[in-house]
Amino acid sequence: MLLPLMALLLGLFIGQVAKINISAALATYMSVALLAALDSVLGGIRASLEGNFDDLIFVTGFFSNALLAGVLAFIGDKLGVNLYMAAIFAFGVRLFQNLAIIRRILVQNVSNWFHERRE
Amino acid sequence: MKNKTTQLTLSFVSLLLGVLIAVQLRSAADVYNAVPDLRVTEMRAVLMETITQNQLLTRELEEARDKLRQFEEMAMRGEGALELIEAELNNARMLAGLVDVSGPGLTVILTDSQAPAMPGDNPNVYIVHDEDLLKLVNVLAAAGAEAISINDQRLLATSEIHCAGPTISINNIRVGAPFVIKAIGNPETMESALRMRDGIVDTLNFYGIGVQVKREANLVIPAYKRPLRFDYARPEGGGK
Repeated sequence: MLLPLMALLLGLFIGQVAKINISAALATYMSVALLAALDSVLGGIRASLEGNFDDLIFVTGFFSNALLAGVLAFIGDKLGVNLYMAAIFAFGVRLFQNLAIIRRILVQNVSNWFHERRE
Repeated sequence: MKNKTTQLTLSFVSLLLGVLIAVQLRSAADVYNAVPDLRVTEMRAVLMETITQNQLLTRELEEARDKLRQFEEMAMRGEGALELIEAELNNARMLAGLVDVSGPGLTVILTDSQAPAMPGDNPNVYIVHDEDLLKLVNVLAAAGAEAISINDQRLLATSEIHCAGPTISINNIRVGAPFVIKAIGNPETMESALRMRDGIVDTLNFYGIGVQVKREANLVIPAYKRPLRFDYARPEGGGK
């Protein structure tokens, strides 16, 4: 668990230092893609807690979700439909669901651990 | 976190996520700092203005370079640059209004109203005022007049058109009606500027003030005849 966290911090640092600038027009798609990526990561954590984590599914999910969300938002913009709202909604709901499930599992684990100690 | 591959995969994805988040944070800040829509039109106007200025200055630069080249050529041929300087001086004099100038233009004659004043009317509205002259001169200048005189008083950059009782003071000389305004420039442009609907001629006619506009193929505008004095202004930077 330590290595991914370090990688995350390193990524933040690189992003801050590298001075990559996204134009304002692309920032919307970027934000949707970021939301999708966050959702994928939370989904991965949930899967690992549930014990059915799969490398390939996780990685493909991460990239395809982010890419699809961005592309969908872009197409929506071209069509004049606010498709990025749909993406934000869908991924937002899933994000919270994943968080809720992670919380349940963690609480369950902690209470199980307490019960075991008492017995 | 079962094995090494999983760890590495997660690390890689986390790295990417970190970069994404950092970039997004920065561009979100950019969007926040972006120029509000309202100011865009304003700034576009400023930009256009700057571009025009730039073009003008570029042309000026080219002219200056041309002149410099001419000076240099003359110096090389051993001729004195005197002639060029003289031409320059003449130009400056013309601009300053220190020489008689001639050319096509307009003569405008303003006379006080001939209409019999009705009892109770304010007689003030029937005479030519300094403001009427100011407006007229302003319109002529806007239409590209290169030299203007009123009753043979050449208008300079420092000339006043000021109410002085029943007369009007121009170049500190009192002149009275009828006012003969001469302007050298494009006669057509200046006349249409004067005769614009609801323009200066219409306004003056409304008050019964006589306005005669005549196009002239050639008219002479006299030079400013009084001595030029500068009590306060001094050339800055060696007059360059």
